Amino acid sequence: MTTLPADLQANRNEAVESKIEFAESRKCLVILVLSVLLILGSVYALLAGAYHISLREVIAVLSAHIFGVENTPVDRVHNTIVWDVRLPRVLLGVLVGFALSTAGAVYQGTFRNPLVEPFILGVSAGASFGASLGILYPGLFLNLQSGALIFAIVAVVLVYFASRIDGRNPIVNLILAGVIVSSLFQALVSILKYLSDDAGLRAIIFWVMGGFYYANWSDVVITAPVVALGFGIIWTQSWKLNVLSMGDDEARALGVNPDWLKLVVIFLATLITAIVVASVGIIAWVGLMMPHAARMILGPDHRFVLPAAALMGGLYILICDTLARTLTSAEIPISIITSVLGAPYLFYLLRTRGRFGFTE
Amino acid sequence: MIHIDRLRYSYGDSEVLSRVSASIEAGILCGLFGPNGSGKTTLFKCCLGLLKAPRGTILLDGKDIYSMNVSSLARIAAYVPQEHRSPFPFKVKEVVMMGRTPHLGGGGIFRISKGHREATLRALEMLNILHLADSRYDQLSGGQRQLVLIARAIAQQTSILFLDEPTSSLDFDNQIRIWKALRKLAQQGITILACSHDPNHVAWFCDRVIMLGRGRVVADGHPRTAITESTLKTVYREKCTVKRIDGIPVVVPETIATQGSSELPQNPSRTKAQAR
Repeated sequence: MTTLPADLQANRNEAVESKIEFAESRKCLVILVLSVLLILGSVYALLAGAYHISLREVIAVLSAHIFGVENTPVDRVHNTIVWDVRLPRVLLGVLVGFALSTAGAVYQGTFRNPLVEPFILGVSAGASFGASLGILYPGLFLNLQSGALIFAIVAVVLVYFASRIDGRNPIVNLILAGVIVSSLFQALVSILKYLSDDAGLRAIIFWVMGGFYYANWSDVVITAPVVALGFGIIWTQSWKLNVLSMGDDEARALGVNPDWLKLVVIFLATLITAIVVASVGIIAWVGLMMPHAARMILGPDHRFVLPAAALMGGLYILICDTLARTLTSAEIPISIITSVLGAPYLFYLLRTRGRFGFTE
Repeated sequence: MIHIDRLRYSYGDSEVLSRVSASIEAGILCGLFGPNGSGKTTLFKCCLGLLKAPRGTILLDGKDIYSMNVSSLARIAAYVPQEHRSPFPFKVKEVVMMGRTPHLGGGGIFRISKGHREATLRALEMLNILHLADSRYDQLSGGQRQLVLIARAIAQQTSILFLDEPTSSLDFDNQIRIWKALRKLAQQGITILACSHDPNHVAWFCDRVIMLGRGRVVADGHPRTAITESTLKTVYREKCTVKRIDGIPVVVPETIATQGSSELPQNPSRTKAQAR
């Protein structure tokens, strides 16, 4: 090997250096495009449905509410369908997609495992039990959602304390405790199913399948601030999540307190998961798939993966829910659609494993 | 500067470090040498605050490590781990950029400023691996990965550097390359503590050696005085001889040194002849 003279060497380095860019503008562009797609998707979802309403009429309804009702006279039926039925449903769908995808990305990053999803810590099983209790004994809670939320939190708290050793929560313990608590609550749900009459059984099964049938403004008002705040705080920690994915000891040596960071982000991810599961039930695959998809497009940097996964999750739920309510005259439970569309994608991921998203 | 005073550490009942004291001045490349289970890794983890020693003090640049938070400690000391895998396919430049984390203030949420990119590129340049910047870290060879991790520690711009077996899984060429890089860093005034299994590497490249045996400091000083037949005898069951080639010390197992070539693997044709 020949050594270059010093000045030539310096020139060569500069040439190499100028090619190294940190490619943030491209990634920002991708996120911008996803945002635009999400807005377009939302508008389409407002138009789609059994009752035909034109874009002009949708805009009329929206502007009436945003800029004051007096200025523009609005058809009452249109108002009910767009403002009271479709809009809260669209917004709730986007929120659910945001929450589950963000939580999925956080769990996969902190657990350093591609197969974890937001329900790993028992949120879904706990919520199912709470909702089932609420269905069978309606007087027990304020409403179904609060019952689901209470038991989702109970499940995660159980997992947290069951996995705690020497002031830390090792990941393996968390996952195992999650499995144990989940199967416990699933067993409890089975008992309730067994005790229930036919109508109750049907209600439990439909709740567990998840869906936006009863989406209304109060759901949106409760969910939106929690999801927005949770996402916001998690996003501010996204560079540290990159560091954390290198392992606890290294994170500490790089100035990140791994125990504290994990506690904060896992708590928030679980909270936003619990709040959306409590209002719409269990929606499969989104939290597992969207972070993978985001990594395939943008690479593993959490600063970009988090918003991209959230936007894609919102878009995906929007598409699936719109299909769920427009494909047939009756409504198809959304989890069936998310799974049917998601399975081929995951097969693809399985076949190309190692090339994208995750090493190994 | 690293100052360790009467450090003790036990895992349960077994004491791994017993009253270890050492003081390493700025700009010294110090080798931490000892056999498996001598307490090297435990000593490292204590110095980095990864393990909390019940007794003793550790001062880095004059500051007690237990009085500092994680982020201020990371501005003083950097750590180059031994074996490394990332579950995500980060690019080399991103891995090295992680070294900037303790300097990012708010956590570097959005744009990372020009100064931090500069520091990242300088670190890559210093080790002559700028051409790897856009490669995927997980697809590099072991030697390249080690260089990237050292670059990350350089980007961290600390005055102290801890390296855990930096050369143990590398080929000869890469081993030499890493040690040369460390010498260069020490010349710039960085205090380096690198642990190693190899007495020769420590003897050839380090300004100073701390030899650990069963949790105690067996020898401490210039390699010529620290790595001797008698000190090696206290840490190894196998006896060693220190030979000199043009004044350069070379540690050789005693069986090889005394019996000469007869103990070495034989020329195959001769072995065959003897078998008959």
